[in-house]
Amino acid sequence: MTVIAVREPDLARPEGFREIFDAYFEEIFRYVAQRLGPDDAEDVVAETFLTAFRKRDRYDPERAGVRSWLYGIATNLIGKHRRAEVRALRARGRMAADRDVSGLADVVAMRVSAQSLGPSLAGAIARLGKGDRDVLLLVALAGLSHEEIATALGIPYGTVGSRLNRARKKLRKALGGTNPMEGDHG
Amino acid sequence: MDDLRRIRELYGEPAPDQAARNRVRARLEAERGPAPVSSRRPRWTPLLAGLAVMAVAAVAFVVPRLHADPTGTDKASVLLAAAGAAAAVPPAKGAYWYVKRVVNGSDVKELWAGRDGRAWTREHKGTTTVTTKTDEPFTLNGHPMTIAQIEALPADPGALRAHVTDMLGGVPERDRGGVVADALTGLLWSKPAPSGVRAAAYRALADLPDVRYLGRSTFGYTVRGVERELVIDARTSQVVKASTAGRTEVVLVAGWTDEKPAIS
Repeated sequence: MTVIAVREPDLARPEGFREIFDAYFEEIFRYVAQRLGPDDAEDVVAETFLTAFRKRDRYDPERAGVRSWLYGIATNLIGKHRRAEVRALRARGRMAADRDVSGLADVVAMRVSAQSLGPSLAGAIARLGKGDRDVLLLVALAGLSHEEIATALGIPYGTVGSRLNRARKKLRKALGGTNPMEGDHG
Repeated sequence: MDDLRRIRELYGEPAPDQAARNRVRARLEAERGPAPVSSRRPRWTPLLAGLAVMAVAAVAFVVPRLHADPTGTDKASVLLAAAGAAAAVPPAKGAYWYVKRVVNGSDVKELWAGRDGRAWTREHKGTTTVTTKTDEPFTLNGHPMTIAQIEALPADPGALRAHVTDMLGGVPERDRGGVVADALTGLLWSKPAPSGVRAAAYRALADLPDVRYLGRSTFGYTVRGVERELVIDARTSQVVKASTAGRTEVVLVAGWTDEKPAIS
């Protein structure tokens, strides 16, 4: 077994760029569609890959993987569509309520969770500051590490942890429960 | 409280949108300008894909099928169109059968298999790349196959299905359909099956009751209780994506090349 070298598809080559598109389109599309809804996602995803192509000279493989770099670009573009994001969240809140209420067993418990959780979780996410929401969703939806988020958004490593903690605290408060056992984990 | 899990539940999983993918790709090609022709670039013969190499996580999951076509008309028409496209692919030459795929959106895996029996896999995970020499790069229902044996498989759908079924050995009756479907799909992309064999595999799949059409060029079948899905491009006969319990493989390249793997 031979360990060779770092290698990511080469952005400068058209073939390399195509490989990156093929490898990451679905994942980036899913993330953007989750945040903005499918109607606005297509434009933003196209813009994400175009931006990546235009700014390929600025991409530094030593600092970030292609994946987190693309998430960073997509996240910045999503920030320009605040209205679409709130609209999508409002729709999600309603959908969560409908889905829960139409469930099979334990209707009462579901109705409670639908009314108090679905809409208010969506509402609480919508009310977060942009920076806090970006970090929270890059963790929850994209599964990026703190380090990847720091390079993707161009913020210090420590800031990722503090934003995440602040966002989670606000969500817990909005959901009406505070758990003293869950402290800050930096 | 697992707030991250609740957030994921709130957001759900948007369905993959092949049409959006094609539109965005076309836009990128248009705005980037045409790709320059490179003479250094090895010429891949686009061919296709196999589930046989996929590690199977032993987790069964059941997803409600919303767009299943009860009549089977779409299933047959899509698979037969793919069979026609497969048959039209000209014979390919090259020293190495090469497959490149992306696993779960991040890890890249490559395989080179030479006609002389030597083979290597290369895995790019995060920032490391590991190249490993491998024996037996191809198996069919657990039986190791050489490239010559794969090329000699029957090019008649009935004969191919019978040949694959003969290799099942101790597989219980109820699992046979799924296992046969799995072996046939493996001939579509992961193995160097010639055009006639690939076309026969598509035709045999069209006849298998265990294969379901899920809409959007996606087919599903169950192997020993585990759901699998295959997305194809019927125009080219290429397998685009194969997925099973928590694992998704996007096929980037599957074809013959003369380019050797760079081995240090």
